[in-house]
Amino acid sequence: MATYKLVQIRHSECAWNLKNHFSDRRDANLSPTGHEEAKQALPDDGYEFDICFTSVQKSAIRILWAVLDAMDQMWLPVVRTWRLNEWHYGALTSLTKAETAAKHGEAQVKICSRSYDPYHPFYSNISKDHGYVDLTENHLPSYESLKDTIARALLFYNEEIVPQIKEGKWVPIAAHGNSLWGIVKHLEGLSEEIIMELNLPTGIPIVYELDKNLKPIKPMQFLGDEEAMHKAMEAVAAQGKAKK
Amino acid sequence: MSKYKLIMLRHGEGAWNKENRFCSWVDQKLNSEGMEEARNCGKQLKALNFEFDLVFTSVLNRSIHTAWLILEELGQEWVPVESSWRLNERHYGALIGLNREQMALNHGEEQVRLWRRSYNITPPPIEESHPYYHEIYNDRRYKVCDVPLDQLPRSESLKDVLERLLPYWNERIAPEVLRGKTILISAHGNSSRALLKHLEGISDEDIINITLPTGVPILLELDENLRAVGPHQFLGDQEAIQAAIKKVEDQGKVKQAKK
Repeated sequence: MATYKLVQIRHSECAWNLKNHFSDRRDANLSPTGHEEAKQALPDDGYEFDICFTSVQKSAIRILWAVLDAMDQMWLPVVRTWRLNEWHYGALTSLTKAETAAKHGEAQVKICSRSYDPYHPFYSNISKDHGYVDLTENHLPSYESLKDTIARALLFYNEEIVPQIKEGKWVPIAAHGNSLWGIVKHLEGLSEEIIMELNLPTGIPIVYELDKNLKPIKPMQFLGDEEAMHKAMEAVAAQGKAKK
Repeated sequence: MSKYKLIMLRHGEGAWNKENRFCSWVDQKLNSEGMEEARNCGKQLKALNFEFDLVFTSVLNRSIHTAWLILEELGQEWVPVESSWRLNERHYGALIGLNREQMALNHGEEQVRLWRRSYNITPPPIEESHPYYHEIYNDRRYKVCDVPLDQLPRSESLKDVLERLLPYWNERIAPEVLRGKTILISAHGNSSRALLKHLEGISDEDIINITLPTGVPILLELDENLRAVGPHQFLGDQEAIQAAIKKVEDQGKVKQAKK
């Protein structure tokens, strides 16, 4: 029997995803499809949130705003943290996956970590961004492995989000594919190999019902119209089948 | 000598602004003009290179949506936004939802002007029988305030607005200003007027003559004691701003010629 519920939303399509670039800390604007997905996200069936969490990237913040607007809960407190940001791809930022494969080999497209070349054109844009001004040099990663991304997202989840859930608060988390992996991996006890193959559907709310130990009592569920829900469930199932 | 800068603004137009009705605590959304006003406000602030650290709004959608649109224009969606009922529009009690022009016909322009612009005249309180009573007080946002639901206002004068706003200014906003944070307050006509009265030391008599246009950033420069070093300034095209102020003032008047 569910004691708690947790809702996650991966930000919708954005221009960078469409062009198949590596996304990163620079703020990409939502594509028109992304905004539509966001507006239809949560049905008006009694989801009363208490406190929201999101990254400091506009794609996640805007999908959260669209959801809160649609549910008439714009007044809710929203906590923004870089710890829920997308994976920081370092020097691969802005390269297309094809360019990366050509440069570093196919295998490297999946797992990469490179330190930032200080002369990389986007380095100064991100590190001097006013949004990160509270972080010291040591805290602001200039690159991350996926493991680092998952670790810092999970740390935030345990330290800041779990206490809220335990107080009985309903918490939506609007974030990114890789940072949500950290939470999903933990909740479902997935291995590193499996989590990396999991493609969380975008723009559609993912609900976990949790027991008193904050373990899911059933697999993730999706909210939305029937067609969107079925598409999402099939997509996730297909990824699992491809593995076997 | 100016040490701190503060930007506050009155949200853009909603449907009831256009219909000339007292909106107050009814949670009207911005209409398309109101959204445009908010975006223009954002563009104005972007041109002036404002980088906000913190945004404060009321718990009414129109002030929050205005803040979001401004942050989008600035590319500063990441800036923390905090919402409080203490920045809500003045509670107009039993007058909520009534058309200002009708009221001027029924009670005279001067009475309407007094209700709207006086300092300590409180309208009659809202009763349970009022068509918008339950829409307001059944809303969950008023069950999680720092005062219990039954102690929230049922009607307010501008003086009452300042009394409930001041603790929030003193405890939440002022400390951030003193820390050197650049603050945006996205609020309403009367909550902004109340705060300006306090910071600028405007008298009870003079506050009647202060009108704030919608969707125009208001700059206030403060000294080290958070007192205004000069009158508030409207940022933007001054002619357009004066026209906008007149538009707000004319809402209380009976139209001379009907269509």
